[in-house]
Formats: sequence, C-alpha cells, structure tokens
Amino acid sequence: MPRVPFIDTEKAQGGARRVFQDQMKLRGRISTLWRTRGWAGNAVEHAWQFYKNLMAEPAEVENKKLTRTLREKIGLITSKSCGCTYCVSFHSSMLGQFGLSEEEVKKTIDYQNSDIPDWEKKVLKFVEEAATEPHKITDQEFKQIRSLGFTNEEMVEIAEVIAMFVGIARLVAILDIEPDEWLENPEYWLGPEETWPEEWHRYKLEPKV
Amino acid sequence: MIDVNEDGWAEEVEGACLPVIVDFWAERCATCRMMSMILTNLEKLYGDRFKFVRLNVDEAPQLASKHGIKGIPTVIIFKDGVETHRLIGVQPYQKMSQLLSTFFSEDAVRKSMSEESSKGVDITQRN
Repeated sequence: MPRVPFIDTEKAQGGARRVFQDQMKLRGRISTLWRTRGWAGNAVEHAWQFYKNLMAEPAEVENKKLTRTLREKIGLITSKSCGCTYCVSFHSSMLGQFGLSEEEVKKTIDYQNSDIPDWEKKVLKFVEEAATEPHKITDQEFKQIRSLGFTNEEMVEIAEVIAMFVGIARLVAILDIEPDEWLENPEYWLGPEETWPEEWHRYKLEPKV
Repeated sequence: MIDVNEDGWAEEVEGACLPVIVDFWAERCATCRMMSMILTNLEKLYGDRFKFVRLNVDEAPQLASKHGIKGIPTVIIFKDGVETHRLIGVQPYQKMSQLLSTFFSEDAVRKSMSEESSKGVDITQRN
C-alpha cells in the first residue's frame, strides 16, 4: 500500500490529469504507480513523455534491433535484478500484451537457463550486470553488445531504459507501491479477508485523496 | 513457519512426518516478503496437514544450490524427503490453496499409478 494515497483520477488536475487521460487512451487503465506519481504534478507529465519516448509507446519500432518488445524485456530483467515485484508483474503483463505466452515470459525471466537466442541472452546478461553492478562493465563487454548489431543510438537507449527502470524500482520501494493486482483482487493473493491479520486490511482500502 | 538452516534440514525436512512446504527466501528480496505473507496465512488453514518451513538462501547457499534454486522466492513441497512440487515466483493464495487442498488426492493417484506401473499395467490406456 503506497505511503501516500492514490490520486483520485477523476479529480486530478494539470499535468497529472493529462497523463491519466493519455494512459487511459493508450492502455485503458492507470496503474497504481502513476496514480501515486501523479502527486508530482507537472513533473510527472515530463516523466511520462520521457517514458513513452524511450519505450516507443505506442508505436512499434520493429525496423530497429532494439524493438519495443526487447525494451520491455530489458525492463523486466532490470526489475527482476532490483527485486521489484511491482515492476516484474507490470513488464510480464506488457509482454503478454505484445503476444508473448506465459512460458515465453518465464523463459525471459530465467534467460540463463532457457533456449532463447544466444544474442538475447548476452543482452539480458548485460542488462542484469548494468542494473546491479554497472561499474563492473568493461569496454569489451560493451563492445560485445554493440557488435550484436546495435547502433550507438540504441546502446544509449538501452542504458536509458535500464537506468529508468532502476529508478522506478527505487521509487516503488520508497513509496511501497504494491502490484495493481494486489489492490484489485487482494483476496486472490492473500486469502479470505477474515483470515487476515489487522495490518493487512490496508490492502482492502480504495485509497483516494 | 519454522526457520531452518543446513544443520536442521535433515530433521525438519527430510525426516518430517508431514509433507513439508519450504520457502526459499532472502532478506534482500522484496518479492519474498509477499510470498512469506501468503504462506503465513496458508499455514493457518493447512498447518495440521503440512509443515511450513523457510530457508534463507543467503545463509545456506550450498543447500539452495543443491536443490537447484535459481531464483527466489521458490517454494518446494517435499513428501518423505522427495520433491513433489516446485513453484517459482510469488504464488497467489488461491492457487496455492487449490494445490494444497488436492495434494493428498494427487498423491494417492501418483502412488497408485506408480504401483500399477511397477506391476506392468499400461496406465496410458486408462480413461
């Protein structure tokens, strides 16, 4: 449960309102992350624009090596490396929307032991290292990733995607934002309400301003 | 939920009379906190039929490695010291509850199939 209440999407003003409207148009929903980030007002609008540009949302960029799907996979491995449950859940769901089966998403999460293409394994290994121990990345490793067919522009975009999701993972941890599913269907995740200890009742609340 | 380590593993898990649900976790893992909440609640309902234990993989890396733990949280169910189910990632209460409520009937079927198989009965021909 977030440490600040969610912004009521119907009462949101200014930048937050525009972000919510855009998300409704694009995704048909507003996630708990953005309902919390909405407090940042106009700054959140810039964050959303940056996010959309970086993740190439809503357009697909299949003409590039760094596709929309690969960006989401980078987000998934970054989030997993940072231990962000919320983010792993979100990226898994997005990859499902891009046509990946549950099995394929699992393979991405467990990329080292799965039969995904070798080049993709190398990218995801690089992502994991970049998300956890970026100072250990060597020039040789960086060159190896570039040699897979990424342009300088794409290499910077990969770094930006990793950095953005490391930041979001921190944001989620600082604000203690639970996955959307937990708040939408807490009994599915936590069991019958009558069995909950007192402190879990916060999951049942529909927090609004 | 009982905390186990390498020293207590044989007694608490391998030698347990009840099937054992082991939660492989670590302090550093936020997801594990959620899985732990779910298992704590499941223990209220199934604590008389299963033993609930947890193992900190950072404190017992060799044991985690021996059991092929590649990511946490991972939940493994052992019966008579043998792994019967493995679940990777956070599992919702309802999914876990469904698994535990059918565990013994599944186990009976498994046992019966194993016995028939050892007697040479073709179990693939069964409806």
